[in-house]
Amino acid sequence: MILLESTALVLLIVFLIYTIRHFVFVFSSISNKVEDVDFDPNYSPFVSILIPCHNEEAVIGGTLRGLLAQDYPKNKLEIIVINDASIDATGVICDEISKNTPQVKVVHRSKGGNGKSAALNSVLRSIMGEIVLCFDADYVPCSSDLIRRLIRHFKDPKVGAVQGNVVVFNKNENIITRMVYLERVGGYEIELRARGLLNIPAQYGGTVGGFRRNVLEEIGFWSTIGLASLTEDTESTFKAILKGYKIKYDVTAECYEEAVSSIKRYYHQRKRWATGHQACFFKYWKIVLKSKMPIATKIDSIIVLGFYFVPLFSFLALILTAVNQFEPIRIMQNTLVWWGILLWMFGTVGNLAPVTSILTGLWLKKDFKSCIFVIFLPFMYLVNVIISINALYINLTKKEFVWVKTKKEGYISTAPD
Amino acid sequence: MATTLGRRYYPRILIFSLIFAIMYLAIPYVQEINTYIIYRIFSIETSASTYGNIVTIPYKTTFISADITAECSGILSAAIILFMILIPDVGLKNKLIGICLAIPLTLAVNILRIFLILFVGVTTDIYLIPLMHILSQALLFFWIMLIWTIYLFIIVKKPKWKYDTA
Repeated sequence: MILLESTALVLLIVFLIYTIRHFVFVFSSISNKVEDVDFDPNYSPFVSILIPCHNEEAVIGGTLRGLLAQDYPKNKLEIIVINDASIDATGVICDEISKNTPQVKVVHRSKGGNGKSAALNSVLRSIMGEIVLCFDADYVPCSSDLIRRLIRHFKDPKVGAVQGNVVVFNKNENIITRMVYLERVGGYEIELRARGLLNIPAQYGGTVGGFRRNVLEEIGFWSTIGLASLTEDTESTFKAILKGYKIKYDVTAECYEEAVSSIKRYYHQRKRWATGHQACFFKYWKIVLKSKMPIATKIDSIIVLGFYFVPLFSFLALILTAVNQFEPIRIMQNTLVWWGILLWMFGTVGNLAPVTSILTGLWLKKDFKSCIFVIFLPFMYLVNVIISINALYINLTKKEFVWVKTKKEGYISTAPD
Repeated sequence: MATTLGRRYYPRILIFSLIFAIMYLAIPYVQEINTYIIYRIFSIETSASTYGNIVTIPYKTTFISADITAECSGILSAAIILFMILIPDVGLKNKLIGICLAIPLTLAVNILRIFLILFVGVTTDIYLIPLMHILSQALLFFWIMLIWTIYLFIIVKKPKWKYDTA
């Protein structure tokens, strides 16, 4: 019984920390606009854009067209497509585009399958850029000044990395894409924006963003070792933060993404993220706690690292909540009644605070119609419980992770340039 | 760079804490009102019902007992909504409209919630009460979200600052 009560107490503390953080983020986002960074016409460093791709014939053409339409000086921009042993027409499409555009260079890797980090690292020694931006093959810029919007932040020498805003292009496709859209709204419109307002480093998300090249060299490029390399973006973010660099988020640098459109694809993609993220937690939590970073950054870093444990904790809370309903085994007595109430609230339908973030994000985007789909979020929460448990099992047993390629339909190719 | 957790938030948090404390003290009285309304409207008779007590409800040929917790008053849900309406940096008029609409309606929804728990238990099976308890928490959760959506989209409408995207 003491064990159950202690577990309930720990869960409540975890939930309260996450909840308070979410509400602080929500209210900060409502109350303030992120300070706009001026464009400096004299600041235009050489930029290398890396696009790793493996069997992306449906989307790579649209992405390249979108990036070539950017108004960044052509003589200061190179786009390097890393064709990671594709067996479809990806290489042919890229070669065709590069014939007429000298900025586009295609690197064909005959032996792939070692993940995104290995593909990115393979070209890092040969690139010319002072700034290295990364795009996944299914991301198309919303406007022609996306690169300029991202690059302007690097004028501050303390900025080590920058992240742009991701907009789901195919949100109306089905219920899964709508759920991904809602998750993105909560994450990008509220969480990342609020971090900027509160002077907490943002997180580099692996696409629509990048690093200063010398920072990448300092942190040892993208990690290819261990399960943490599955989320090379999270790992490189923490390496940069620990080195004392700022990571900026630009809400105005918008880029369309094609969201996964089936539950199977969602499951495989999130399982990869959850496994990598949890591995990063095990690898970095002690280092973060011992570091000399500001206390707010330290707390937020631990919360971010532990993000993919939350569905698991929430599920545990659900079980405890159910147990607590029956008198003979009731663990929450009168003295703990308030804790019990909170446990009910968070355990029954997930967490109140993330949904508040999503609704507030929709309000900022003036998207009233999507609010109704919030009622389906508990379903996704249950899917994420399974994903988190699976990821934890892989992390604890050190099982080999099988990378399942996230298939894209190619809707993003119809996005306006 | 603007930082929102500045001193200008302290008075708001202090006012909220005071209101929350007053609301907490009001729990027994609100519960009495709830009991009275349930009795008058739904004809479900419950005895003394303040926080920490046990009430008896007729069930088939016998009686069942139910623990009264602080949340039976709906104060916690009302406090969460109050917190969500008061803290953001939006106009006083919007806040007042929000409070005037949200708090009484939340207390009314809470009465409906308690009625549902008791009604299902009394009319179907007593063992459904724990399940209804969980589901009714979900009802309150969705209610809070609904109020928040209405507050932002219909009452506040747009943030104080301009939002320029690419």
